[in-house]
Amino acid sequence: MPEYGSILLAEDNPKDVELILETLADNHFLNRVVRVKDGVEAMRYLHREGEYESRESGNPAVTILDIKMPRMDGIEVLRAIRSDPDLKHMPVVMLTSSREEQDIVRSYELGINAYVVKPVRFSDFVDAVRQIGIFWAMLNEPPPKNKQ
Amino acid sequence: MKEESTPNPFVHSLGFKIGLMIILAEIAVSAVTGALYIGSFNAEIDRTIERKVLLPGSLMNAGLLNLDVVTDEESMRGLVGEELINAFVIGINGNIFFSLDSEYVGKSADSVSRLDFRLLTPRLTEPLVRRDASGGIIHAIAPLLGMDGQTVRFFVYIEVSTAKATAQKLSVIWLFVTGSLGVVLLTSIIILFSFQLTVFAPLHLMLRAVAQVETGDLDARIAKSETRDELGDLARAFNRMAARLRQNLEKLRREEEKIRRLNQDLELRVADRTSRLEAANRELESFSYSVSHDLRAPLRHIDGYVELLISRCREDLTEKGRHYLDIVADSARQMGQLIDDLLRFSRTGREEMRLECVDMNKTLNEALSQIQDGCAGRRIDWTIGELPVVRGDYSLLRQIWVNLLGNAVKYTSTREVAKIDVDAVEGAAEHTFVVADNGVGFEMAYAGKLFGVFQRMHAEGEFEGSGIGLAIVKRIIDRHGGRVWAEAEPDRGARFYFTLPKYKEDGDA
Repeated sequence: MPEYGSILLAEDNPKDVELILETLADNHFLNRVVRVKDGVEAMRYLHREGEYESRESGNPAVTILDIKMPRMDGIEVLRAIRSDPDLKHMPVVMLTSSREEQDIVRSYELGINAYVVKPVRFSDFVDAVRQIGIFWAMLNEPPPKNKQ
Repeated sequence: MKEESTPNPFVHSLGFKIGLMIILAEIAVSAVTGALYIGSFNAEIDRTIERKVLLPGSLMNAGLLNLDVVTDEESMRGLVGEELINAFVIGINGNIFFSLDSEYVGKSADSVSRLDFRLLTPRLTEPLVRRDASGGIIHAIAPLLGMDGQTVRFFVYIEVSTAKATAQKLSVIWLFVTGSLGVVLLTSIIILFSFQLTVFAPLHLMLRAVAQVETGDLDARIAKSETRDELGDLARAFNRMAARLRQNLEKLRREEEKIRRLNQDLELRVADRTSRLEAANRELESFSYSVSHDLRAPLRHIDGYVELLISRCREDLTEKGRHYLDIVADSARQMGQLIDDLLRFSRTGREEMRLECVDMNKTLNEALSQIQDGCAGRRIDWTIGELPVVRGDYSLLRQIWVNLLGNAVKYTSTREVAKIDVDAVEGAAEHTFVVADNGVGFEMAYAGKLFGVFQRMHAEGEFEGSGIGLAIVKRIIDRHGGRVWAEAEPDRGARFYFTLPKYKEDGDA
């Protein structure tokens, strides 16, 4: 059982996933990272359904969402999380390529905790991922676990 | 309005005027003819009465009558008539020796106050008639000659009353006046009646038709327009005119309908074209949006994996290999910059404009402080004129200055002292702004390409930038309804002009 809560990473692009995981590993993060390929799988994980039926209970310390994903995009996942009484207090961070105003506005309207645009420059990208990890997975005190 | 407050339609009607004229004319005519007629009639009456007065004297002188007859009242009355008042026979000495009124017999002639006895002289050889106007009497003195036919022996003096003649005259006048009045009335009525039939009734019909046309009923026609007189002509002309008007109006309506349909059609086509254009624009924007985003991911990966390669596998790389990787990373970064610029450009065209009154001095000053970094270590001689207030989007207008002044600073970097002038000129409908520098300029042959996306005038090594700045400037100015152009000469500086519509109190930009 790790000391810190797990990180749920919803990202369809395997290269981005690899870069994020490399960055986290380089910075000695001890958090367990669960990677899902799209919004539908993310919701299955959070609701402990299908292949995630047997996972241990409790919500991730932070969920990192990409906006553009197949089947169910990041905005839809965020809406589902915020309308679920068990999940609505969970920290959610958008990590996306989109700098579009409407994406940012809609995310904040749905109660995103942070909105981070993926920088093109790798060093900036590493910086951003590290800061998300440090703040949300390590420093931030997650809401009390809601045991049912 | 006051003058028309008591209009009497009858007094102003044509019938009244014509009737009045007829009556006046007839009265004048009958007055003249009446005067002539009555005059001659009266003269005739006078002649008759004179003949009666003179009759006994002339008869006696002619020897057809003797004194016995004269002295017999009855025969005298039979001769002269019932108007006879008195008859005297007077001697040459002036004594009355006979009178119908026996009172005067034997008396002197001067006892008859009415008789001017001085006339009774032997010299009076011709009968004399006198008219006593006040007494209503006519009297005659006729000398009776002796056997010789020359010597006056007696005078016959006869008085006749004019009362009957006067009554006759009066009755003649009365008859004439009443008769002519009757004739006047009758002819007036007949004339007016025929006028009514031939003039007023058709005129009334015309008036009604004109009134109908006046209220817009062009189907109004004058009935009974078959008479051959001028009114008939007028009525037919009116009917023709109304028909022509109707035709013209119908033609006009048809034309109007045509124009309306054309307009409608045009509006529909414009709306259709506009919506298709808008759709195409939206498609283009979402295309550039998604392309830009999807392009960033592989770039990020190139950069990321190059970094990983350099940091994790450094020992396995040769110097040349590291150089190649530097170029790969640099190209990726450059492409990232291009994508960012493209996104910025696309956003400039899409974002909603917040129109307000903008002080261009303020936007310029903000832009100047924004480009301070680029001016570090440079000697720049700024000359900035007074700028107007315009209507537009504050941040977009500031962006114009940022890009134009940024360019001016950039392309004067080879000068020891850069000179940059900013000014504005007020025209009739617009303000013209100018940014002039003493930089490297460009060849006018390429001026047309200046405002295109990613168009550069200089080799990449010479000056920084992707060539999006002026494209953004043009797009902002286009959206404000202005124009932009440039003048330059190689190595002699460049002048960038742009116009913005003048701010009006009620109008928008």
